[in-house]
Formats: sequence, C-alpha cells, structure tokens
Amino acid sequence: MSARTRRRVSEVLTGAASLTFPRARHADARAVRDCAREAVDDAGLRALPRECLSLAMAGLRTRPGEAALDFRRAPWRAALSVLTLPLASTILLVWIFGFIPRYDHWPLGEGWAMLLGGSLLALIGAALRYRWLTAVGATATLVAAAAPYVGYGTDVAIADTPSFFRGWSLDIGAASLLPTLLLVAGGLSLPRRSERSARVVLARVSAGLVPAVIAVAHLWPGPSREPTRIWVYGAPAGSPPKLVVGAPYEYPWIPASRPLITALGIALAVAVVFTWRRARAHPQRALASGLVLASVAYPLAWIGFPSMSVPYWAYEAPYYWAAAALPLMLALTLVRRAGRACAAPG
Amino acid sequence: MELRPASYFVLASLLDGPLHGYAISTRAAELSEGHVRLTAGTLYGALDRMAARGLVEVEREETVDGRLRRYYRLTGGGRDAVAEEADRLASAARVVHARRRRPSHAKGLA
Repeated sequence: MSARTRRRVSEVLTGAASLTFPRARHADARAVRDCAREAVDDAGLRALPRECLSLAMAGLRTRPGEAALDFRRAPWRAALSVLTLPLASTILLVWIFGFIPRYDHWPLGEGWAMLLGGSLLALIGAALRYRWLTAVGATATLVAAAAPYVGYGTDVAIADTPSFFRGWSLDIGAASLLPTLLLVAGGLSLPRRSERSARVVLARVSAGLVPAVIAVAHLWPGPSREPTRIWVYGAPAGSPPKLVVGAPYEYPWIPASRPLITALGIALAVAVVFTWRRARAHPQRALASGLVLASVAYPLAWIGFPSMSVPYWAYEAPYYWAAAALPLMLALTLVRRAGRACAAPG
Repeated sequence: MELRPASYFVLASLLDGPLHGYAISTRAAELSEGHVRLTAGTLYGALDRMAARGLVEVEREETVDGRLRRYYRLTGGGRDAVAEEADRLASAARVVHARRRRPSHAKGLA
C-alpha cells in the first residue's frame, strides 16, 4: 500500500472514530485525532486499530461529563419560573374539560372543588408571580388528582386499581400528575418578592384564562348530562331490562377528549419547535418546554403509538416505556441545548 | 499526591519544555524505556485530568501540515508533583537497594 493510500485510510478511520466526541469538544477531538494520525504515520497501519479504538473511547468518555456540565449550566430556576403561567392555564383547561361534560349536581364535590379551585388559584398566583399562592393552588390540585391512586375518591378500575382510568384510551387525570408536580416546583421557584403592576397582572390573568374561556365556549352548553351510575338488572325473557339510576358520581373523573388532546398536542409541538429555535436567546424557555415534554412523555406514547392486543403485563408496559423514550430524548436534548446556550459567550 | 506511572512519565517528559501530544507520547515511551506506551485517546484523557488538577496547562496550538498540534507545559504544581513523586520512588528504591547490599543480613534471616 502506498504512503498516500495509507495516509488516506488513516485519515478516514481516525476521522470516523473522532465522531464520538461531542460537538462542543470539536477542538479537542481535532487535537486527539491528529495526534493519533501522527502515531499511525510513525508506527504504520498496525497501530491504526489501537489508535482508532482509543480515540473512540476518549470521545465516549467525554460525553457524560459534557452532559453533566450542560445539566449544571441549564437555567433550572428561571425555566421553572417561566412555565408557571402557561402550565397553570393548561391544567385549569384540562380540569374544565373533565368537569363540564360530566358534572350534573350540586353542591360541588370536594374533589372537583380542589381541582378547579386549586387550578384557578395556581393561575392567579402565577399571574401575580406570588410563589405561595401558586404552590398552594398547584398542591391542592395535585392532591385531588392523585387521591384516587391511593384509594380515595373514585370507583375501582381494572385490576382492582382505584383510578380515573376506565381501561381505554388515555387517563388525563393520571397524565396531569407530573405536570402538576412541575407546577408546584414552578410556584416555589418564583421570586419571593416581585414587582406586580396591576396592568401586567391583569394582562397575565386574562392571557391565562383564555384557554379556559375557549374551553367553556366549546363545551357549553354540553349534551344533556347523564346520571353517572346506572345499574342494569337482567329481566325475564321478552321483557326489557330494568334500569336503576343511582346517586350522581361525585368524584373527579376525566374521560379522554379528542379536541382537548389535539389542542394540547398542537400547543406542545408549537412550544417545542419555537423554543428550540430561540434557545440561544431564551434558554429558560427551551428548558421549560423540555421539562413539560418530559412530564407528559408517557401519555404521549399512549396517544402517539397504536395499542397492542397482548397482555398488558407482558408487552404493553415495556412497549409504551420504549415509545416514551422518544419524547424523553427530545426533552433531554432541549435541556442540553438550554445548558449550552447558557455557556455560549454573549 | 501519588502519581500513576503514565502520569509520572507524561509530567517527566514535559520537564525539558512544552511538547505537543505525539511528542509527549514518544518522549514518555523513551523515558520509561518502552514501559509506558500511550495511545492518543489515553494520553489526552490523562492530560485533561492533569490540567483539571492544575499540573499542566495548554501553552499554544499550531497547525503543522494540516494537523492541529496542542502544546502542553508543566505548571509549578506539576513540577512539584513530579519532583515529589521522584523523591518518593527514590526513597522507596533506597530501602530495597540498602538491603540487597547486606548479604550477611540476608544470610542471618535465612
């Protein structure tokens, strides 16, 4: 093999091995790669596999450190703070979608009072940028939404699990838990004292309430609401079965709603694309959309991927977790992009 | 602070002045009589760690024949560290050499 060909082979293979370095360490990658090339020039092609392997491993070794650095540099507090108003507004919207089509009696059950009242309180707190109001409202919402999963406040779903979940489609109640937890953290990350001009607060409250108002307009007047509990008793042949209408269902429950899921999906996609593109100027926004994306990664997998007709325990859970890895990876990329943007000069 | 053999010879190779990566690697191999052979990835990993500990620092970069060379030099801390390690090794070696020169003592033990 001629010296020129040998050099070309060395350059191609060492170049490929150096691709394991993260983009942020491009200069380091070049220095190490060129050092490896000099070693191969001197020792001949027999040194090439050893140098390539060493180069690739060096690149891989730098990656965890680089990722950790991006995570440390990411503007966590600012991101949590910036997501409070949009997230509070979205959570109120979700519970309005759960409430209006289902609730048909008075007084308001304690679950619904906590869900709607807490969401509204969190929204007002976020508009005022008042940390405790936001955190308390979000915590009340979280407690009410999580109560069925610890055995309070609803009926029994499949596998004797107390849940909003009815065994089909998406349980938005469960899907709201992580975003609500994020809202609690967002509330606590707000500054202790902030300037609150009445005009700004009013504008923020109005903006936060817009989705809820649109939802009410969309849902109201809804179809005539049915009593929630109906028992059907078998009847002798030839006669109709007897229907017994029970007490109204007083606990929070939210069925999947296609318009709601579509609206949330579009809003999230727009937020991710927009904040991704503007990450350099506003890293906290990119990080905020990454956090929200991570918090709904598993429900997104339920919506975005077809259900499999195999036993849940055997296949579906791993399948959906694997599917959830895609939005999680996108969220991680957003977090790292925000971290890198914070490190960039200027 | 105890140094690994590879780090010791890398620091020792920089005692005469700044060197670039491949030159450090060949110099370390010479000084160690072939015992320390560093590939590019291993060498730069070690240099990164030593730079983080303040033992070496990048002096300059230059491009030669289309290839980037990064020159490293010892810091004061690096010079002290390699000197301390040399003293430690010399002291450890003296213990053995002193006993090897006393055959009567060895016989007595036997």
